[in-house]
Amino acid sequence: MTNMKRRVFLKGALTAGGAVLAGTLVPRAVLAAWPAKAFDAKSLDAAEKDIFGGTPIAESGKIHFPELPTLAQDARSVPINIATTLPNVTQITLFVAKNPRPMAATYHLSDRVEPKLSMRVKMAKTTDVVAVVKSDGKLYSAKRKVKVTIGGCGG
Amino acid sequence: MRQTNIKGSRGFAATLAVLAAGVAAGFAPYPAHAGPEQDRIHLIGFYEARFPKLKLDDYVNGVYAINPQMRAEWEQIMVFPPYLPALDTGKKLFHTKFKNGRSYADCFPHRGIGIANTYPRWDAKRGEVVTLALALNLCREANGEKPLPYGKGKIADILAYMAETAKGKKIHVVIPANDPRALEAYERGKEFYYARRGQLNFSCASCHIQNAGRLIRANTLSPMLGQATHWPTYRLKWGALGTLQRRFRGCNKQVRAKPFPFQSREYRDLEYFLTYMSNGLPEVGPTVRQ
Amino acid sequence: MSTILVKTNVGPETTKVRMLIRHPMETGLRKNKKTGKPIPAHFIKTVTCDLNGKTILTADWSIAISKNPYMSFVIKGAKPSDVLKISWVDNKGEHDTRQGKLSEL
Repeated sequence: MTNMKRRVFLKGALTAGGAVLAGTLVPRAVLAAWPAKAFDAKSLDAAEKDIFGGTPIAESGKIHFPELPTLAQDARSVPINIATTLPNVTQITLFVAKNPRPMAATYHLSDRVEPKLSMRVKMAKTTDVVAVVKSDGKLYSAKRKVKVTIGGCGG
Repeated sequence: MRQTNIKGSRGFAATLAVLAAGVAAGFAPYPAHAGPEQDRIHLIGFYEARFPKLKLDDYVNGVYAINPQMRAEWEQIMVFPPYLPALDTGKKLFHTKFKNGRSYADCFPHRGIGIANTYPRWDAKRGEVVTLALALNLCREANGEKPLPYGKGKIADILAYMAETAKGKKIHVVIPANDPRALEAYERGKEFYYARRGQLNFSCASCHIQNAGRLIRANTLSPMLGQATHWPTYRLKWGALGTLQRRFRGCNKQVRAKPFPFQSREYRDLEYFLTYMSNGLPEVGPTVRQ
Repeated sequence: MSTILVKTNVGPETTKVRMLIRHPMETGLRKNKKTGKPIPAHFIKTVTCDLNGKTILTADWSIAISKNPYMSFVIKGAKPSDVLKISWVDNKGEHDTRQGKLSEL
């Protein structure tokens, strides 16, 4: 972390509630480090607890998975798009419920980026993909089932 | 277009047994026509009847021309296709000189650029069909280099680059009229295509002509027309680029037939026949398939 | 040669950024079929995206992200001359960076 970023952080800390300067993320050392425990959790509940503490997560109809395949062509590379109309999103986390390690990825967003992300994930079996969005400091989630199957000639 | 959903809870063999019953019932006889052009035109007519909504060029996309859900997922993947790093490698490999200072470009017409759509070719001197993969290794050997293993890896990367430079050009496989051996090779390829083989006693035609568009478990069977236009292919199942003959071997294994070796006469003749059948369609390899 | 391939679409209000990173993303849960030995985990842990020197997006990835990982995101109101920098670091400490103007990437 450079001196420049350290000064930015200190400035931020002096404002009410430690507000982050607009357009930037809090420097890496201040953010939680790569969430090893949550990534290693073996159940969805344990993973959510590890990353979010006991913070309640409310279901929301404002989180979407645009163009989500209902039947994935390849379990090792399933395209996932997440988009939300919730305001002031600072974090988006993706879980694949029945994966051996359900937490797949977590993203920290500054206000320079829209709450819209795309990625490709591995799915061990048919299960829910779950997106948890942090909006105005509160947590919201949505889930959708994706089928994964063994094919005939192609599989 | 009829779609028959075949669910085989008793395993793959059971599934195919059900399929076989359907095939035996409506199996078309081995097409005997005046020649390759007539074969090709007849084939197009067959598919036009089965898939009236498809235009000829649509066939290069295989199952994605038939199945809209699969197509939507494929289009997302094609935004940034996973074969791009391999294509980059292929370009570098193609332009890397051999130890003797020469390069692949010296072995091919047009320095190897924009010609992949014209393979396989009949080689009158050698008296056999030469595929592009074989031609690459012949080039290596002529220049004191060891041949590359077939099917995947570096050879697939180089083929991807050569295909990319020919993307959009029409497939143009020639059976020279002045050499009867070329037509014989085509006929052998055609015979292979329609011959039943393996424990499951299926021919290529059983799945890709008779049952094209139908489901085998969760997979839609692709039509034969257009199949040879999109190689090498990044199959999601392989997690990498692979060649057409790699797919031949896989398909033969799937009907429990012993696969032939890469670049065997059987597979070269088959590739000759199969690619001829897609003459006039655009070359679209490399691409992504399930 | 960079492991990071990038495409950008600079629009009047938003800019779409797409990337493909060349990386095996090995989970550590697979075994070598011939030897039976486990194949060690080798995966990207963090991707950092900076615009004009300021971090705008951080992605923390796990073994569940696919091989040759793809990611896309949308920047609000950027100029073609803005500089985007993408960096990744993996569990072995290997890393790579790609940087350039949005109009040139």
